[in-house]
Amino acid sequence: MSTLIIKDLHVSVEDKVILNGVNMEVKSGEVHAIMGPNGTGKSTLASAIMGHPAYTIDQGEVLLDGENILELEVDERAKAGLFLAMQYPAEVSGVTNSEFMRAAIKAKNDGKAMPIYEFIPKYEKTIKDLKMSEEMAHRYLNEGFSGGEKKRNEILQLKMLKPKIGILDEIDSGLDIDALKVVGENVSSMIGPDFGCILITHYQRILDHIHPTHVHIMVNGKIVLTGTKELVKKIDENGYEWIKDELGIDFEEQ
Amino acid sequence: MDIILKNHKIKGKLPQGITYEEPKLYIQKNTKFEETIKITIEDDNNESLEIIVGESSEIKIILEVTSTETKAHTYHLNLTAKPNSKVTYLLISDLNSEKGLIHHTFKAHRDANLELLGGFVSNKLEAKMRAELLEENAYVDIRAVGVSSFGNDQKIDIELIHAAPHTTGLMHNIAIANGDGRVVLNGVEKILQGMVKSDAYQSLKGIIASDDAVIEVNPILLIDEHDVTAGHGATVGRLEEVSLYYLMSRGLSKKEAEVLMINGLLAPLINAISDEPLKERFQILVNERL
Repeated sequence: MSTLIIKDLHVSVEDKVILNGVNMEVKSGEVHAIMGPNGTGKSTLASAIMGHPAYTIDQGEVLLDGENILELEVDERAKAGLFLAMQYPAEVSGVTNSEFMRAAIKAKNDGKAMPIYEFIPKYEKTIKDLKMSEEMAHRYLNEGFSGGEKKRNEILQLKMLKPKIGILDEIDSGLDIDALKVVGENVSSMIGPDFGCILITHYQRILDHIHPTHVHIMVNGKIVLTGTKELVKKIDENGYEWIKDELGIDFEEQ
Repeated sequence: MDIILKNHKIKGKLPQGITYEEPKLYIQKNTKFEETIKITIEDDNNESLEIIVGESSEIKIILEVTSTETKAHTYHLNLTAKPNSKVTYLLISDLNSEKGLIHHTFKAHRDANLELLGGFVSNKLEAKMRAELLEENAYVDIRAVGVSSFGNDQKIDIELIHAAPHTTGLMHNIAIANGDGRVVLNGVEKILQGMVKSDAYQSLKGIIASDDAVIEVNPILLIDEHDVTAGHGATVGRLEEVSLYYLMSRGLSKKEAEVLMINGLLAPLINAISDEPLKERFQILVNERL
């Protein structure tokens, strides 16, 4: 059982303020969907929690099981049990997927490598679960991958590394309906006493496969509304314009 | 099979088919040596050696120049590949000398095929690998990697001279510097006048792994003949920050992420090594100072 608490988080990029005090609490077994217009700070929240070098934390804390992870290096945050499925995963030439995966597992197990006879069947099964091609293991990390392949590869890593809390940043973009279902079901199967997640998305569709326990709407770098699945329906039908009237907030879609 | 040289003398027995007359090591002709021959030149501070590979022979050699001494070390080495011979060769320079000098010349005769690898992980070094394509259809492929770490300063010259028509000379070299290490990598490819239908290619890559590291790469093509094909490319780059962040976000430390990325950049060069033991030795070597 884990808890991630985001407390009054203020973040800027190159002196431009993006997040204006975000508060949130995510527990194992929960799925928190964050929705909102473009350019409102959703991805910034994900990147800032993981520790992307371009983002500056101006104020606030992010506690994972009581420890302020903002004081940790990126790799230490991962080892503490955090995982970010990135919107734009980097391509690393010359390093194969499986080689990278083994290195990451070894790093996570405090330098203890997983025996190859244990790793291979596990990795192959997970590739199969995600309906990816077998050659995936031997291809260079994300190099030349299609948008959909990159997203599946993020989930492949998520399943292999088994973090406590996952943040999935627009994992649905670039996926067709079938792929969406596969990815959704795979993530969904992880939700439980050992795993909870934050799901950043624009679309309702992924939420048909990963059922959110909480839905947040983010506008202008703040969570302005929190509710249940009903909120998703309302956004799907009416967009975000109604928020302006209902909450008296002004914003522009970027 | 090991050959150890100390003070110009052979220690122990020589493998069958190989003889030594100071300072020349003869590899007999028309012989295929299955096992990799490892030649070690021990802690001598002034050494020379000439290796002659006989006609139509095939051999794989690892030549190691290693020393933990810090005094000046000078090596003059030479390999002649007689007609139709095939040589796979790894030169390892792992010197702690504060003033190291290695000059290694290779001479390729008619139809000789040379795959040459150089691994330079020394403290202060001036190294030159120079291959001369002396007769028609000689083929030389050089791949060299220099790694400099804290306090290391290496200058590496890789030269290919086309002195006969219908010759092929290729080189792919990589310089890596971390800490406040420095590597100067010069690639020189020369096609002399009249050496028609020669084929020359060189690529030089520099990888800077820290703020204080220095890399200099100088690609030089000197071509005195029209009827040839030649190409070159040179790049110097840093390890990309977003890639490091990505790898670290999966739990790899900065150091582990850097080593993985550097090995990724070396992969095309290393994967092309035809001989497994050589490949393995090369990989371990270039990782020594990362």
